[in-house]
Amino acid sequence: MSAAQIALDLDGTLISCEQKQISVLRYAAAGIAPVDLRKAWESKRNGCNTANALKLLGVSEDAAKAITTRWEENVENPCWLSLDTVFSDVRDTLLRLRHQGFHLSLITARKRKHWLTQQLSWLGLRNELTSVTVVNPANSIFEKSVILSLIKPIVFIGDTESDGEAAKRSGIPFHAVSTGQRSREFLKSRGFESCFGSLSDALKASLL
Amino acid sequence: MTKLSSQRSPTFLIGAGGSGTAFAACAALRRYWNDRVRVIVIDTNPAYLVSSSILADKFFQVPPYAQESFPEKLCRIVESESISGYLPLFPLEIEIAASLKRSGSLPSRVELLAPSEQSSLITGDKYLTSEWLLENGLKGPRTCLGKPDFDAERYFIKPRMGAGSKNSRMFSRAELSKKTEREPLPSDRHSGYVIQECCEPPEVTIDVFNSVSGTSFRALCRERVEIKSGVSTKARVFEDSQLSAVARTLATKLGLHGAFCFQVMKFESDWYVMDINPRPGAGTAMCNPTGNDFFGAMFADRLLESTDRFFTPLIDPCFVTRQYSEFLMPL
Repeated sequence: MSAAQIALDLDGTLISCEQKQISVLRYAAAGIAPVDLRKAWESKRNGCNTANALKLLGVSEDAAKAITTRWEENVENPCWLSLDTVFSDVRDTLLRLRHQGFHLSLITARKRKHWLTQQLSWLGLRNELTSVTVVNPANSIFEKSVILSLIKPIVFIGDTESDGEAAKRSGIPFHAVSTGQRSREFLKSRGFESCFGSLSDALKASLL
Repeated sequence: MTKLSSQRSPTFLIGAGGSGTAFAACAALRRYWNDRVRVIVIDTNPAYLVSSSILADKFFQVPPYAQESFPEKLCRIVESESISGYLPLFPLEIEIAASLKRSGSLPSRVELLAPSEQSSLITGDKYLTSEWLLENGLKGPRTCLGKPDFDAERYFIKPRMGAGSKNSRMFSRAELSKKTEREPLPSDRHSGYVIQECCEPPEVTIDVFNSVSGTSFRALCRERVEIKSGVSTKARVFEDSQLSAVARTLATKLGLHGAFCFQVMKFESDWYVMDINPRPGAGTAMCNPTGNDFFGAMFADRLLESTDRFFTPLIDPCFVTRQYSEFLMPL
């Protein structure tokens, strides 16, 4: 009998994304427009993308476009990826799950998958994961749902409404974590009542 | 409780902003504390030539450290930005900062991430370093000023107060004899040179963390496989108990806390201490991918946070390489 699978998102679920995103935004906005970085991040946590978060702060359309372009060009560069950290409960949790015999499948949306392997090694996560699948961010809901339908995990844990939507389309149970891109309030407003403050809490809810 | 840990939003001043060390320090602050700390960077170059300015809340261009106006400008920035922690990185900057702290010119609220004035003087001057090593029973290359006072086939000449192996080179006995025939090499502290006996590779840098309380200690070795402009670009990272013991001795006897590094080379079968830097190096960040973040630990220690999460035992030696990152700088 094959081992039970648990599917996990990466950014905001296993590792941080806040400090990297704020730092990249600081860089991207420099010389273009002054931006309240904390407020921009809070807007993103409440559902905005980068461009809309900037416009909400009064940044002009052109400036928001220029900043967002520079942000997108840089956010997956190794220099900025080095600002990500592993959440404090993740390593122990992944180790425990592996010892319990679970297969841990990472499904993440990244444009530059060649830097992902390096980052996973750097963070000491590569050996904890049974498989790593990278999907296109522009088509993440569909591609994640295809993977989930194929591997049929007992649960998918992620930090965004698109992770939740992907799980819904594939009929896989979903637990959200509010440690990343979206706030608890936003996720609940989108119908994701099952929302937790950490990976370990999300897994406890699945009796894992 | 330290002054830093008692503040809601501590402000760190990072010196020598154009250095790789400064960039790694700023990156560590953003990585672990994000916008819960303020980061101010200073450098003698304008912001658009200083990569770490992109990680900073503010940047100030300052006069060259040797200029009389530097200390005054520094103190004004410390005051205007309510600096609570200062990490000076250039040797002369470290010395000046330590002196300002001792004299009370830096406000008492400022935690200086640098050693005492005496240790700054010793570590910043390669001639004083060699004398100190001798006095303290530690092994280092024979060192003299002006003309060689010991016989060797080859000599290594380097600035007394230099960094990054700049303006350093080897001379044969004949070459040096010819060079110093008419007059000795300049030997004054700030522009003079030391003459040292040559040691053999490998050249190893030991990155060290010694907590302020002295209860937490970590040392990791980086063999320089390749260097560009004095900075390691390829390294073999490993643990070594003998070099770790030397690290502990240096930390204790020089009162070095936080992160620092020193270099060793071989002379016959012994490790000789070549250089002591009372601060992390530009190559220290090469330990990061091994799970050992000396910069993070240094700041966490001052913020009275546990430093355990910044270190991972290294089971086997490993290789780390690095490449440049490009940034389009705002004007």
